[in-house]
Amino acid sequence: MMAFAIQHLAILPVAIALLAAALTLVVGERRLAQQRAIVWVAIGLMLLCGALAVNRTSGGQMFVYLMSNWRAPFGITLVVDKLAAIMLLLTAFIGAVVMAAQTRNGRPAGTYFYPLFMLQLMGLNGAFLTADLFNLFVFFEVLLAASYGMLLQHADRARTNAATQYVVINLLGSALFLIAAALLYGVTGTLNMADLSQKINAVGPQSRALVAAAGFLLLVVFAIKAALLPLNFWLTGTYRAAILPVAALFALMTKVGVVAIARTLTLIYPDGGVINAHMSQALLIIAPLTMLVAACGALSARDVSTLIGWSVVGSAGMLVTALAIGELKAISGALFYLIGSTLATALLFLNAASLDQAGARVAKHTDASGRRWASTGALFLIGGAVMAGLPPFSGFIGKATILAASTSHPAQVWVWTAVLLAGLLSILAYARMGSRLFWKRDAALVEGASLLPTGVLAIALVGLTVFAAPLQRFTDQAAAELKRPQIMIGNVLGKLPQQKLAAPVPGAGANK
Amino acid sequence: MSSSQHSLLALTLLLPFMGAVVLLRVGNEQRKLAAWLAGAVTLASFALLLTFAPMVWNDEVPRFRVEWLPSLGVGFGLRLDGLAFLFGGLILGIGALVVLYGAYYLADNDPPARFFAFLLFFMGAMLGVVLADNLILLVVFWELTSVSSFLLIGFWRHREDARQGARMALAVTGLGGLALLAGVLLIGKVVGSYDLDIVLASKVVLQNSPLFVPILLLVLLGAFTKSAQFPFHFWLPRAMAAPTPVSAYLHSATMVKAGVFLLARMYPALGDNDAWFWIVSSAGMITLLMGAVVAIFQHDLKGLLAYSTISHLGLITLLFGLDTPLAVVAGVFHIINHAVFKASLFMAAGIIDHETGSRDMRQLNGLWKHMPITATLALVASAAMAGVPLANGFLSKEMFFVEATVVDSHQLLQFATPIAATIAGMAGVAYSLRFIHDVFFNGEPVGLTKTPHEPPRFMRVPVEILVVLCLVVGVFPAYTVGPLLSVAAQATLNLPLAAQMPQYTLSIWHGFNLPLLMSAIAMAGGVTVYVLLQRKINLHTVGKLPGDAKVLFDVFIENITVIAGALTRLTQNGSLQRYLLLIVVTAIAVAVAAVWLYPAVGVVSNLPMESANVVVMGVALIGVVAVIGTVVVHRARLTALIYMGVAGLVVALTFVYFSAPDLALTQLLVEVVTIILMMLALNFLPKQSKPELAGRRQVNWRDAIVASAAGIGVGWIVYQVLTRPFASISPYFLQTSVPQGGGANSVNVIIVDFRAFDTLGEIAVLGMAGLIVALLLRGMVMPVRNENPPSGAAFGAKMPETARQSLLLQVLASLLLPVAIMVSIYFYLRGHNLPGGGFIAGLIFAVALILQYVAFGQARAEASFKLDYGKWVGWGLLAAGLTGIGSWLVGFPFLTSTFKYFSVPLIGAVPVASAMFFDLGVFLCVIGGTMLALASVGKLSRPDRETA
Amino acid sequence: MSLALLVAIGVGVLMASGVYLLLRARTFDMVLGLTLISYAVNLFIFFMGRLAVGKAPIIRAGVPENLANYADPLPQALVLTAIVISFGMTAVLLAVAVRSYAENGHDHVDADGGPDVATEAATDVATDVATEFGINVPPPTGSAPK
Repeated sequence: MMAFAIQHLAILPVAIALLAAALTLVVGERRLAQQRAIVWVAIGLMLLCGALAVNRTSGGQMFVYLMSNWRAPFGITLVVDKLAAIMLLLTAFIGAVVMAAQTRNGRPAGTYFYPLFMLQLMGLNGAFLTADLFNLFVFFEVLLAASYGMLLQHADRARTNAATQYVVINLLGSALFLIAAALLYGVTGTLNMADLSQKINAVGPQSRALVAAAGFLLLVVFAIKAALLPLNFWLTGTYRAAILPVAALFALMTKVGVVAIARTLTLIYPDGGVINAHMSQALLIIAPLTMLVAACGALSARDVSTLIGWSVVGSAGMLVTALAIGELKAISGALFYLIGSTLATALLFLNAASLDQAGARVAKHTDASGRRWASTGALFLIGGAVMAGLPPFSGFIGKATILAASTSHPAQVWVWTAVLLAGLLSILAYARMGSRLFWKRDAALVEGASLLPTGVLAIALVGLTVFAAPLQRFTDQAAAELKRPQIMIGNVLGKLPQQKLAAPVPGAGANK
Repeated sequence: MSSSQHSLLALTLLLPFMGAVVLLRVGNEQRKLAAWLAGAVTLASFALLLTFAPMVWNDEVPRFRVEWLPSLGVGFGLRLDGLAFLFGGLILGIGALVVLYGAYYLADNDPPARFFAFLLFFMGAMLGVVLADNLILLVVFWELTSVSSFLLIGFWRHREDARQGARMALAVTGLGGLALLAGVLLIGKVVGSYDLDIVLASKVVLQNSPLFVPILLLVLLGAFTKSAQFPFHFWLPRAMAAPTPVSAYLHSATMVKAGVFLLARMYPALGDNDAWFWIVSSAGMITLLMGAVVAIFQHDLKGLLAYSTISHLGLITLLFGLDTPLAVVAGVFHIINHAVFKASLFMAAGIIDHETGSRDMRQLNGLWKHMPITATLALVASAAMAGVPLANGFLSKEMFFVEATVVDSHQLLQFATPIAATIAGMAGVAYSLRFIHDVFFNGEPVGLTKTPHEPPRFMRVPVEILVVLCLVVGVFPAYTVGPLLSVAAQATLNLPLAAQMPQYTLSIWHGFNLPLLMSAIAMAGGVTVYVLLQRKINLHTVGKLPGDAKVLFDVFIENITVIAGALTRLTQNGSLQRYLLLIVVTAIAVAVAAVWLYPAVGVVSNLPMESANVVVMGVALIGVVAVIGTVVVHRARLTALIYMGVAGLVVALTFVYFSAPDLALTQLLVEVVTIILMMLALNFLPKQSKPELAGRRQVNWRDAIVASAAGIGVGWIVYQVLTRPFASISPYFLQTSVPQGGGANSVNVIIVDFRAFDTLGEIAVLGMAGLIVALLLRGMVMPVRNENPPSGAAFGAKMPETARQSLLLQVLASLLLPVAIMVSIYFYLRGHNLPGGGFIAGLIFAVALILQYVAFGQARAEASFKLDYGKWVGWGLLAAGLTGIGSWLVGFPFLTSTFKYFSVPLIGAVPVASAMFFDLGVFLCVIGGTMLALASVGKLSRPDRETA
Repeated sequence: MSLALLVAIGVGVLMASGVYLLLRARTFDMVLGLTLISYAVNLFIFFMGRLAVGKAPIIRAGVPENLANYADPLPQALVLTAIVISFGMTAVLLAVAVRSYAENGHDHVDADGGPDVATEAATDVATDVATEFGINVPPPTGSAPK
């Protein structure tokens, strides 16, 4: 069993989600109970896979999976490296929490919620796992299509309008992605990222502009996903409109873009190449600016969802800044920061769901509700502290690590100014929002809101701080792995398919 | 290491935090329990701390360390030297008294559990600051004090001033915290470690580094904001909105002392140089004078104490700034004394507030006869504050005067310091005098809500203890505070052995000397000043003092918020067109940038260039005309659709011409379905676009230019690539598709085998598209009522009356259905070897079904099929997924395909590959998705069956 | 004119027209634009495999399997995927457009209908209804699904 799980580790998270989605559709819309059961089983399995992946990769292993048993670069290859492992576990965890919040908050799940939810996770997992550029496009489409559906749950005027922007912008993004990927194929004749990495290094000077253009376009596409300036505008509106459990799930969406950027900077256009240098320079201008603008947005936010949305933008800026700095410790810090900010985003959105926003049904004011109100406030405080980079939480740890890693970087002053200023502004923003939400008025909780999912998230965040040591050792290794693309290239291109059962081909020309 | 691992030290620090958590669980119902718990925790922690006393006096430094942040090279480490011990003692000792005091102070509607929880939280944070053995950990706890003090100051959350004061404190100290973080990280860069032992030992390295001045400024910014040094002092008076126990705690022994603690802590590393001397001493001196003078004019008791606190912090800062070992000793000494008397004074103020309901000295008069004991206590305490002999304040003030007079090296300060010191002393005497005279004498109370009386017995106990301390220390300094002071000072100066301590004597009488004279002047002057102020300009009539930096702060915050808002609206104005334009422009820009960065690019035309024949040119021309036509007529949407259809047709022909039959087929079918879908949609959308407003003319031009740029760019890239030699992985597909893929149509083999995983995702997307359309439109009633009879389905709007009921069409459709199904199956089966496959088959099938809908109308069509297309999608995905898993059973990776040939009449040798089952999945998904979409849009027009 | 130049121009025209329509203010115009863009992109992908006339990648016995005798099958496979996906997304966008028209009462891409809603929303609906059904219906107000 274990051997089997290990053998197919890379595909399991995708396959499980796919089958779960299919089954939830097959049992039919009316049978919500069965759908929930299926989804829970699926998420449980995904959690196991994630844990297994982290556990095994931390042992230094890297799992390469030849889809359809064709060797790279001909077939599609999936890879579980440390980065992918973290993302798998994180995705499964967020999925579980969102699922809990979703099942508990009383309201009906919404139309086709569970199939779309599963396909969303399938898309995310696939995007984190694949080492094939076009396949990455496909999984982007899967997770985007699913997110359209999620965004349109309980569609009303606001959600429809948000969806209009979100869909159109992402369709344009997809077109750009296709152009970039196809262009790379047109010049290098391959789609496998590991193979691309080598072929791009080999292209002659008169084709370099083309591969560079392709790379820049890829960054633009991923920047749209990660919501970097000036491509971030879709985010806050979308997050504000979505029903809050979905918004919590969207905590992962920008991270897909960030991970894709990480792959671009560390694998496809690895450090040392001229193109990589130009990319990093550009990102080092844009990403810190993104943080500052996001902090301003947070400060001027009038409702909590907008505030959270802006912090999501800000955290993306922080992550990309670290990636662009490119120091091992910076990347390690970024990974640490990524985990924390994702959990915190989910926490804040789910927490907001239990607040009374604009005349939701308010629970009666009792001692019990008073205490739950206090806990809600505490949860907001924790989430806010992470997002604003206040100690002792992961936001601060990640930030400090990144800053420390950039002390010898030429852009240090600019980066530090941006990070610290943005930090201060976010502190102000959360202080204002927090005191407005929890101090100005008395308990205003939505009926039947559960503290379980948010509580779990809070515990996880505290855990990040308490058990920072092992985690940082892991992120250090992960960063080291990313800094040495040869490892992955060797593993991917070196992996041999299993011997095929030779199939008889009676006169292959039977039908000529 | 574990040998000298003192877990008790960790426990000392953790107890308050644990207590806080427990308290939050306890809840506010049992009021007594909360107070008892908090007290117990504090005392326990205090006791634990005391157990380390012997080691501390033994020049040992107890430590505790566990691994925490390896990538920062920082552990969770604690270290208890003399300075830490002194502060720990103050924090926990006075903390215990504050808890006792608070237990009586809190009103019935103040939730005690929350109060004490926050208090313990803050206590723990302070302990962390003083115990941290590395700078990162120090910053961590430093920020925690900011957060916890934010919670404490805002404790009375319903009060605007409390909320504002809390936010302001957080903002200012938060700023300092970030500066400190930056400074610390720079220190780490220079020294190569954040470990205090190492940092304190590397004075030379630090002060010779080019980064020294930035480091110094950043660290000092942290210290000054925290200890309310000018010009960052303004948050402190606002923090008086907190409950008095909090003020008594934060502004005597803890919060503000964290700043001076940092000065003391970093002195050995950063001190003893001009930069330090000038910055620190001047900041201290200004604050000392400003605070002392402003304090005189406060009417609010706590306001007066607040500014006096600021002033005394200035005094301590100045002492550290004077930069001589003895000055440092004096500074440490004054830290102790100020903590003791200021805590007692705040408590006294709180008692008065509590028992009279007012803190306004214009109302509070002549309380002596109502509360004599409290009055006596307050009298002694303020004597200490004024620096009257026999009180502890006198001693440190004397030491300060001594140091002020011996300032040599720096000409200017040689005179400035003593004078400033004396003036400050006078002011100190004056406001102390006002505190006593205004409150306890000076006539009768005016307009008090309740009749004043002594507080409950135990509410006074803490004050009594502190006041006794003031006196005992004041009279027998050498026997009481002496030892503590010496270990603390020794640690501050970072001297390993007590022997190296500078010489100083703790005694009241130093003989007649300049300092004594200064004291005398200060005394006499202070009294005269107060009396004059009382007589000449009645202090009670003095309004608010101008020039409070708080105004600036508000303006600052105001502006940030405004700017932030403007900036946000600027980047994000909600206009989708703007966003799309930005994306397109960005894309063009990066492409141009690429060419600009790598200008070597050029057409390498070493390929034989086929030239286009007349037919091709003609078709191309048609295509271009159609495309441009679409743009030109796009307002008339139905016409535009026709043009677009033609364009699509030309695309299909292009595929045919360039040998891609599969693509051509697919393109055609997708074309058909898309157009149908659009016509359906148009049935519910305006038939023509409103023209843009007149003002948008130039906008249209701008768009046209951007669009052409995009077109030229893409075209240019295509041409560039087409003129380049090509080496690709593709030959492998051609070679292997028959022998290993089992199909001659290598495109299809790629789709169902090599890149089947793509196809899997693709059908998932298509299926989802159907689901989304359904969930979006199902049961939605279009606001425009549809006048067509049911049979018209959605096509009513466009179909002539006759066509709708046309029997011919119905017969045709019913005949066509089986044929279409046959055809689709045929395409499905041959797909592996010739153009076709599950997708094409599925579309054909779907089109056939749509035809039924058209002919018979949705009602009958659905009635006769009873299809839940959502399930079709499900089955499709299931089939595809299970095919993939199937290969696991024979130990192969996901989607590995195996095949066998069967010969089927009419079609020939058919490879029954596992890929076929996969293709079946595709087939089902395509039908499901497409029909879901079409049916949902079609259904719209029929409100009577919206729930179907 | 060489085939390469011809197809390059073709793709360029498609892309330019698509982008222009995409930048219009009406949802349906955007749909048209995105469709044209998808044509352009599909052709772009296709041509990245270079031009081959009369060399369909369907293996014929005895013909050496290389790019000299067969068109590059890979881009074709990619285009197939791309076509399907863009088809699905077009359907979604159309549905969103219809829904947003129902919710907003106008088909401007921005919720507030851009600068000129007030006047437009009314006229829009009025005219449409008039032209389509020859009857007057008051401007719609969005109706959520039941």
